[in-house]
Amino acid sequence: MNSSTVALRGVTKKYGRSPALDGMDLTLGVGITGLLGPNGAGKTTLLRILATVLRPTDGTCRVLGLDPFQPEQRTDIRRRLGYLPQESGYPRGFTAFRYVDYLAALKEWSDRSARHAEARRVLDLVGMSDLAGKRMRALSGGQRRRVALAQALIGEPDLLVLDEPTTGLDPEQRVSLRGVLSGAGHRATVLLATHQTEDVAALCERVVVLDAGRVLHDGPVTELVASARGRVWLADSEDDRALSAWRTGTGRYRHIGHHPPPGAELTEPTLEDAYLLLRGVPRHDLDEVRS
Amino acid sequence: MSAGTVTAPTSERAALATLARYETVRLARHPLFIVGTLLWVFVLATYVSDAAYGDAGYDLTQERPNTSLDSPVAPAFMIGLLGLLAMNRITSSSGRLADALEVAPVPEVRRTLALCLACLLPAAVGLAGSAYVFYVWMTDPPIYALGWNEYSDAELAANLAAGVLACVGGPLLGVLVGRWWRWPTAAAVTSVLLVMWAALSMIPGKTLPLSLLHHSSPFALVTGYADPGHWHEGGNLFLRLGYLSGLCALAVLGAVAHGTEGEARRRMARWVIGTAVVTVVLLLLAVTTGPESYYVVDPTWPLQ
Repeated sequence: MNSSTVALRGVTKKYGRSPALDGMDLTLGVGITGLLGPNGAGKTTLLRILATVLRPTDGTCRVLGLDPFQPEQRTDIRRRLGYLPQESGYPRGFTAFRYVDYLAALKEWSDRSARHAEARRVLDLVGMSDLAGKRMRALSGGQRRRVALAQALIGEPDLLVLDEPTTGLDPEQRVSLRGVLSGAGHRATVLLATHQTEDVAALCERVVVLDAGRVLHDGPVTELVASARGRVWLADSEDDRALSAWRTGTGRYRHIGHHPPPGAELTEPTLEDAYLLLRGVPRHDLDEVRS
Repeated sequence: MSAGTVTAPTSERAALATLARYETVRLARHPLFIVGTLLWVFVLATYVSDAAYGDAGYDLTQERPNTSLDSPVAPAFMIGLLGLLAMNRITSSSGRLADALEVAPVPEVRRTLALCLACLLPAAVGLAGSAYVFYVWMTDPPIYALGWNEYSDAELAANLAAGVLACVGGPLLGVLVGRWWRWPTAAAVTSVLLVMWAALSMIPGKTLPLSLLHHSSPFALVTGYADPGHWHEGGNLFLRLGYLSGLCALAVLGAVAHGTEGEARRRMARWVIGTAVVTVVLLLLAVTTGPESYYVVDPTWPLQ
């Protein structure tokens, strides 16, 4: 098998005439890769292609060394894949345990006792074992998200494709999930699409930034953060020349841009600063990006 | 092979059996199926024997309650129709898993087969009830029984077996509709159409076209009131079982076809066409062979 788990060459996906992905090249190996980008950048489309849900309009795609468009190879990929979709529905009346157990059955866990043990293991991993008997509809959004993540972890997959796994989670839950994902990242390929730059900074060695279906940046997180060094300042007043600026909790203004405001002092950039700089987001779009 | 330390996988057949068990349990727990089964048990306990009719206040020599052998329509309505709604909901609710379901290694064809196998549960319930009805008929025949005495024991059993096939056919239709039509009222609309189709069995087969209409019904009454007596439907009840089995097979093939593509779908289409042809031929044979229909004028008809 090739050392890369995922290899995309010139992948294009069009919905009608508009391309969601535009000639994308991407190679992924073991470890955690963060996928950032604004809404509509093509993140979910990319993830769905890797998860074998979608077929690209053009280009070649290898996943786990196999061709996802050959039915038998696709099934082999799916046996080694864990996928957390952006949105999940839940069959009526299912408890958290039954939901995971049912999906384990769909993942060919036929032995009842082994399947139940696996369902309990993954529910425990995401901190949901105490609520395993509770109906899905009675769980909060964050709890349901954790149960959905649990099903993606069934069988310790070799490729973990996660679309916004931390949506709706409180800070403790997010930190707890980071522990789970970092553990998975030691032996599997994890692709994590999110709007939470803190999660990417805390978890990922590598970050891919998408914009309009193209790769805007692909490299180590530290490299992207370093690219913003010398372009983030703290100042007492707002400067119109800043690419982005906002008043922080200390009362001072954080400026991102190419021109230092008068009397400003340089500060250490975060991944979010670097991402905003990379995208060159105009100030009036900042709210959308930050959401 | 997976690099993971946790392994699961097993044979495809074992995966199908596991899923079939899972779907069967879901059906067994479904409120609509439970209600249908309880209603069927209530009918069995209340209206099968003369003793039960007597307890219900009927004068068994003067009044003519429906006999227990008219009952194919009872399981068909209670288990078949409610089973249709239940299986449709189960099929549709699995669809809510969307992408999580899509990427499961078990393909849709096998998931659909598992749903179809779950329909053996209503068949088993219908079979158990019908066997009980047949047992009561053989050991304690009713005093008045429309034209049923004209039939052989095997024909009576075939008539009851038609009810069992209705028990499995309704849920299979629910799976078929759940696979192809996702709008919320699809099952309700199908139920109404099914009842209208079943109402064709109220038409006595006086002519060949009418007899075709009568027997094409998914659960047909083969005796009925026809003031001042009753009619006795002709045709071959055994071949009619073949026709009903063909309808069930069409539902399975149609549902399974949804998960196929390319050559597999073309092959499935050929199977559907072939099965449809055989089913129609069996219906024609059921109508054109066997005894002719006739009418009995009963001078004791109490409403005259």
